[in-house]
Amino acid sequence: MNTLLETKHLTKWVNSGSGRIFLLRDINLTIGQGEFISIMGPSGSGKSTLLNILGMLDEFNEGEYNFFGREVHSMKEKHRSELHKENIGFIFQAYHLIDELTVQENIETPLMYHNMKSSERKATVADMLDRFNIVGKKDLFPAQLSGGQQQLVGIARALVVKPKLLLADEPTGNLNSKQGEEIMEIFSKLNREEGVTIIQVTHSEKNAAYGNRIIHLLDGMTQNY
Amino acid sequence: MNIKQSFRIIFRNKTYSILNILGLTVGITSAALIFLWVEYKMSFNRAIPNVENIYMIGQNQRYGDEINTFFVASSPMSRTLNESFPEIKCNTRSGGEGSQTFILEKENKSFTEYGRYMDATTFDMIGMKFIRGDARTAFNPAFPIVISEKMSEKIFGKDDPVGKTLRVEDRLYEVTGIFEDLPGNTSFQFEWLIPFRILENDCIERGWISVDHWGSNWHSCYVEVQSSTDIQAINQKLKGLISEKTDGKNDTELFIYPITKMSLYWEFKDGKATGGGYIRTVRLFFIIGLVIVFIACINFMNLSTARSQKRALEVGVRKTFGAKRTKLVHLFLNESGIMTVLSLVLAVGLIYFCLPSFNQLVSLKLSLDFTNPVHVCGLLGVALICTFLAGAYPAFYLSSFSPMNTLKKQKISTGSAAWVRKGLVIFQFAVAFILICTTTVIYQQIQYAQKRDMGIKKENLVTFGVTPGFINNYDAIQNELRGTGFAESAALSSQTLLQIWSNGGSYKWAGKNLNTNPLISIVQASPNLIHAAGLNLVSGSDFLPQDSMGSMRIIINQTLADMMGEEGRIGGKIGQSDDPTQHHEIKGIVEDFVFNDAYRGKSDPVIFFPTYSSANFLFVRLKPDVNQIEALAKIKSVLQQFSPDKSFEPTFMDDRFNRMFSGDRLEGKLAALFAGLAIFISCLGLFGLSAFSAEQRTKEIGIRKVLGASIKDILVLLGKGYMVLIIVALAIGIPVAWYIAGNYLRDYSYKISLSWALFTGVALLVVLIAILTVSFQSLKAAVNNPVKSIKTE
Repeated sequence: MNTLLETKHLTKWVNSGSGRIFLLRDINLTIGQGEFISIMGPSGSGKSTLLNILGMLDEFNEGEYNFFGREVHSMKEKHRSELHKENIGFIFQAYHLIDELTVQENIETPLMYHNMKSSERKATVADMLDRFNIVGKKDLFPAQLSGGQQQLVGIARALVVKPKLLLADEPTGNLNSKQGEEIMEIFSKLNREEGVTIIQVTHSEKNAAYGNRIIHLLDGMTQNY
Repeated sequence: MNIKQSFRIIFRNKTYSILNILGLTVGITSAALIFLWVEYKMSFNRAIPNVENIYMIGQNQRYGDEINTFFVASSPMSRTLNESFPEIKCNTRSGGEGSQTFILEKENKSFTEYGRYMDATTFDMIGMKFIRGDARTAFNPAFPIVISEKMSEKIFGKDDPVGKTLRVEDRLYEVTGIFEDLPGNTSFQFEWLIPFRILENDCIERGWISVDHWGSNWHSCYVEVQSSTDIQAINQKLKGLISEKTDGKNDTELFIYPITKMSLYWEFKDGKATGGGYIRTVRLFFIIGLVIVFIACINFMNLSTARSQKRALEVGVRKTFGAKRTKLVHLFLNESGIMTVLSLVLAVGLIYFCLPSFNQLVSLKLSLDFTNPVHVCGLLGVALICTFLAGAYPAFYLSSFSPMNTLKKQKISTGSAAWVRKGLVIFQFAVAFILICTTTVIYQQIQYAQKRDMGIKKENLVTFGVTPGFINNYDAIQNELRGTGFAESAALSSQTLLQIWSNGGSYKWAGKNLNTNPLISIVQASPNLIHAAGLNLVSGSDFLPQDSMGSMRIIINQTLADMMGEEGRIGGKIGQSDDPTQHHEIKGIVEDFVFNDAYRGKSDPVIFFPTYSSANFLFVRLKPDVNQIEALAKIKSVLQQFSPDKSFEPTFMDDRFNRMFSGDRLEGKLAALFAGLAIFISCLGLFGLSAFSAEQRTKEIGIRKVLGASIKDILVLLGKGYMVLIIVALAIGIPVAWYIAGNYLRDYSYKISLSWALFTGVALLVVLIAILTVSFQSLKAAVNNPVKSIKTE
């Protein structure tokens, strides 16, 4: 199995008054292509911070982070966001759809930042709508959808750019258990059938079990490996 | 209670309050300064107590098809008015206006002061108050003079000057009175007055004027009519007066014109006041002042409605607890009222702070006077207008929200307000664009005229004012000047040549179309003037010394030569007499040169006569490479030898030329200043709006960044909406600015042509300023860490 990403002694802190508060300390991870990983831990243990760093949205203070053989820690902001844009899809607990845009437009947004031509975009979005069975909802606004439907749109939007890595921050946190299960099934299927690497943060043992490996975080440190 | 809450809200939203207050303060200050200037211009001559009854004599003279209007009078005028116009209480003649050097014999000191020759009726007519002496008898002695308090103090200090004498050349004037310093901003600006009869006698003695000739106009005449006289009737009576007195030989028509209108409504066409003149400029500035206040009010309206989403919940809660809509309207009006009052207080401070510099700019002594009801009412009026203009719309809009919707945190539809907001931003930027474009056109036009080839070599040319006594020694002076080694050439002239204020009609020549009667400008010149002034001879030659000995030779300009056709050649003849043997012979033709109006395309016809007994100016052309300070000192000392009493102050022709533009340049500067302020205030508003929308869209920006948007993408996203507005503003502004600038240029015949380059340049500038304004806030939002903006929902 090829390595997708690797962290060595990854550490992040914030300065607070005289001392430092460590958010992450000495995180060493190796994640292969095609893995489905769940990160678990109590509130404040650094799960989301780790996810954001892996997604290149946040910075860290020490250590190394290699993504697909490239050194993220020594990269310039511009290249890093390029790498992020090309390879990573994000899914949020609160969906974070853009209220002013329709379902179709929401899914189309990331493609615009990939400089895809309009006709091509339309076709790609149509595929996605079809795949997640939301063709009928394409002209609705987020506020007109249920939570589960919104998260479907969120997933479609994350996948539309065909990322190598899908990051999900408590994707089922705002959903009822039935909707949650549906989402997890989709993740599982994506991982199995399309080989998308997934890292999810979750509180639920049941959801965590969908993955093939669990990383436990406590106070910014990995507990077992 | 309400007020306290309003204050709290104002302080809590610091950025918006500061933007609003700053905008309103700058707006009110600008408007106040403009209005003070307008007030000054509108109050011309108003300081004279009896001004409603004071008029000036005007004449409509016919030259061919054209009627020219002049405010001049000839010698028989005053007498005739006294004899046969009982409805005119009195009249006064005025002339010889200028600086005069007075010698205080005892102390052998000289003082140069500005004044003129007028009749004794002046004292009463314009309400002069005598501190010393008696107005009724002041002009009774043979050579009396009355002087201002200021001049008296300067020459005599604390002493009583009445009875003392001041010498001008070889004549002694007895001081018979001191008058209170005159108010500024009137037609009557002088430090001394000498009886007009003395000037008249001098002119008669020198043979310059004839007492009975109705056609030779050489002074001006003011009249005071009996109160409640029918002005129409006087004008009717005056109209045919000259024709009647000259048995129809002179068809000039007379009329009287109120002196309150002299500075603002001086434009005449076909013998009638057009209602135009400087008033156009004054009106334009008044409108600019109003527009600037309005632009500041727009900021307030826009920022309030843009933030309505934030206030919606508050409105909902208040309504749920029973607040009536009127109560809410009061609440919001309170807010705008408090902001306006704060702005007004700051503006008053800022006005006091800016007035000295502003006064320097406009060369006036304007002041804000809290004992002047007009000023107080003006300020309060502006404040009241601002409160309602800025406050009313937001108040009614915000108070209209339904409590149900706001409490459910549903999106309230902001459609109408958003449209109004967009419309107002478009208006602001269109106006700012128009102002910048037109001021740039005005500036370019002034530059263009200033750089034009005048036909006179202005460089190294110095002029000195001279008097008849000086002219008697001219030959000797000339030799001395040559001896200094600094002067290349010198000559005497009756006119500065940049301005020619002497003219005459009824000139005839062989082959002339008898239906035409051009008005010809007249210059009296010594030998060598053409050369000294640097005029270009097309053919023939300059005046020689022998020409000045009563020869009939003249020099004309090209325009006149063209007008004369066949006869417009060297050796051609022209003259006023019906007898061709009395006509003058053309010995030289000069290229046209520009005078009186630097914006005129074509020159008027000019004749140079070879007499210089009535010259007013000595022209000295300095050698090009001499030290000018040294040269001037030496030349002054030479002149002083011949006229020890007089102080000779040199004026460079360049400076004279630049002075011709001082009024235009001032207006250009004023307009540019206020155009700059208009765009500044507009940008404050845009800044606020963009800050607000960036804040409102923080989460969206975060999401988009996570989805791969670059900083550039975000800037485009946030700026796009505003750019559309700016472009619409430009689309509206360009034709309007084009029209206004074209209209402005229509008054000039020597002018720039409007170019697209200019409008495009200004448009780009406005777009750039708008982009910078919007980007400042958007950039802050765009570089924000998306992780944070998503979290802080």
